Amino acid sequence: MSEVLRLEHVSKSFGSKDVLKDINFSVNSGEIIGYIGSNGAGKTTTIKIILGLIDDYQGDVFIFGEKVKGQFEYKKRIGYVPEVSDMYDNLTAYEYLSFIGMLYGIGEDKAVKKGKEMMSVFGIDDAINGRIHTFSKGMRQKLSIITGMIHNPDILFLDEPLGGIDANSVLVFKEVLKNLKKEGKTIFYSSHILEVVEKLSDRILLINEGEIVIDGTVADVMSMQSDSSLESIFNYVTGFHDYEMLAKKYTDVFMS
Amino acid sequence: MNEFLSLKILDSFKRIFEGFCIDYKLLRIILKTKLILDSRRAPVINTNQKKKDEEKVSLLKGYFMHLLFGAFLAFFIYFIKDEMIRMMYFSGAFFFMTTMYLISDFSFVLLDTKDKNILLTKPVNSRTVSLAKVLHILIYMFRLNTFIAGPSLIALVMSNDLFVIPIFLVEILLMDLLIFLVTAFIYLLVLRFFDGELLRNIINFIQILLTILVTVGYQIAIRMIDFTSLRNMEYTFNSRHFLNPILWFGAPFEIFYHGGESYLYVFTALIIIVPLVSFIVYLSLSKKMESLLLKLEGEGKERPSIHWIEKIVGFIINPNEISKQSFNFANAMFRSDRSLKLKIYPALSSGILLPILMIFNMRMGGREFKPSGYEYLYLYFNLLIFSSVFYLVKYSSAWKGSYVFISSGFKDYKNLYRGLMRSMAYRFFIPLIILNGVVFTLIFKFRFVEDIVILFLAGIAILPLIGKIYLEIPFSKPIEESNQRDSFDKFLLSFAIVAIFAIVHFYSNIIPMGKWIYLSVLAVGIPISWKFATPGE
Repeated sequence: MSEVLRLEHVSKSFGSKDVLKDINFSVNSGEIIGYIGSNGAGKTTTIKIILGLIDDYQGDVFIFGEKVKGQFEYKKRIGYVPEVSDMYDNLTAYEYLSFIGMLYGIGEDKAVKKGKEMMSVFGIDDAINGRIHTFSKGMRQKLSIITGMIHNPDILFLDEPLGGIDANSVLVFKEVLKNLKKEGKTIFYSSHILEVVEKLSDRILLINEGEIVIDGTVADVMSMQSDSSLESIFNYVTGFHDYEMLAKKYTDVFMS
Repeated sequence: MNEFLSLKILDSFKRIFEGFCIDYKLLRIILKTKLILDSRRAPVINTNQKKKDEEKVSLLKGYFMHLLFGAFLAFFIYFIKDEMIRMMYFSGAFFFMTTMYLISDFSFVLLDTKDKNILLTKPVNSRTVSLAKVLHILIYMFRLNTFIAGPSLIALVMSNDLFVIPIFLVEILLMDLLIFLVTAFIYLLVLRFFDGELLRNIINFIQILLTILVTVGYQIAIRMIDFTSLRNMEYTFNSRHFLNPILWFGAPFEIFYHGGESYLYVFTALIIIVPLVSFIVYLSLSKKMESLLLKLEGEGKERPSIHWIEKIVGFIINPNEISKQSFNFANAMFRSDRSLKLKIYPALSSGILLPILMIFNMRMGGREFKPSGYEYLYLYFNLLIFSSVFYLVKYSSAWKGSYVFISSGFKDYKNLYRGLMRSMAYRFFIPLIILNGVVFTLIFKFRFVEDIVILFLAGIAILPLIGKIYLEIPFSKPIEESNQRDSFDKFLLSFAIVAIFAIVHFYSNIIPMGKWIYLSVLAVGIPISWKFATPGE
């Protein structure tokens, strides 16, 4: 397996807040990485740096052995599905697929043909001529997944990709990811929904307050705690122990 | 997807773009998509034919207004014979109008972060994205120019010859570039030095201020023109004019038709050099601007503020808990909804301006100014303008939150509207009347104090009546829909109400003790009006 992604001493601050502190890791082809952390831990910032959306950071990012700062050609080989997708809402799904296809250089017709077939898998192909602003949250997210993968990328960056998606489509999508792994694709899956990450990933990277605090295979990580659940390890590492007390407090307020 | 004429024209410059390492194919794809989006900008809830037709009608209405202004401008400059003066007036009006439309309609393009997230995650050079942004705005400006400047071009051809066409078109392009760049540099400076909520507030403030300045400045400028002497005006050079771009644009015409003095060549050089150099500077800074724009996406922390005066006023004037909460809620929305502020404050500025302009107009007439004693009637424009605010309060950029009115089973709309109207009075109406009252007192001494008090009380009494015409669930519709003004009948009705109050006021000044009788009637009428006329049953 060859290395496809490497971060070396990557740090980023917003004002006085250090969002990422000296991040170092590498990813090999064919791996599914579960990138987990609490809200605001720095997961999305890491992905935005890799994608070139943030370029004023310290350190270096390498994709396929090349430094990415100031480059854009490498994006032909990567796909990105954000948590909340920005789209041109007044286009129809058809027009948007065609537009994205042209940006990736795969051609309008191929993009629309592939896109329509992928939409049918998710059961939304009837909406292909509807404007995106009329779509439900789940439909938007499905379209976002499709447009992020339509160009057959080698690495997929998924940032909480399952928000708003129905249970059946989640099942389909998880199977798709397993199939893609078999095809040698690399998947960088960022989420705080630990159950999905636990089932899919080969390796876990846990980021807490801008620092990578765990980097190991799922088996290694599970052996860290006696009850062997990613959730308990996550709670332990992030210093969160008193959820029962907080839940009681919330219930008391609710009932008052 | 349709083909756009602007793209066909752009195709002829393909080689030039490619010479500057721009991926023209991608640039064209991005621009084409942007133009399609522009043509669909009026929001469409349902994609049915009726709505699509409304989109077109709304677009045509906008173009008609531009054309009307353009025709007026053309008529005006046709009569000026001096090339320098003629172009001075044209470029002044053109700068005003185009800047205003650019700020109100296209700031969102300049400050857009969506583009970055959609396009820069794809294999697209950021330089191509930046250029697409500039060209998108310039294409919009050119479309606008067709209506605003087109009639003036015809007027120029009629008073000179066909040779004016190429000079005029190049000048329009350079003016557009200059306007765009000045706006972009202002935003760049603000983005450079501010962060978070403060940054968003400052940008909002600049947008409001520029829109008001352009409206006010243009109104004043147009009234300062003495039409009778236009024909005979002649330009006199002053070295300070090198710093005033509005004066540069007559120079090429002057050189072409009458030969040139040296300063005319300097003006001509400035017309070309300043926009082009600024454009190169902008392109080199555009990457910086894109990364600074990320600040707009960042989380903002606003300094917690208690708004004591507002709380105390709310407590005093709202006997009912619902109306008090509504008062506080409306104030918070008026304070924080930047898109709504961008609509309300420029509308209000006309309210402040109109009465003053009426008086200003009389003073500019060249005759000795003798107050008629009925100038207070101009202040009724304040009440008329206020119907715009009533029209706008049902819109918001955070309209989706209004589902709580339905989901909570809320019923007491009467008190909701009372609180809302008190908030509108507190934030907009009372300051408007006070400001105009102060200006009137400065101009007319204390002559109209009683009338201003009557107007104030009449305004308070009118609020529920206008509210009855306009009010719907507040902040419950997308702010983008606020451009689709289709309520002329509502405006006429509110005009009639204001007119009745103005007429009664006028006659109360004629009848002995009339003012005091009218004041008493208003004092009694206000609680009745607020009790029975408030909408919400």
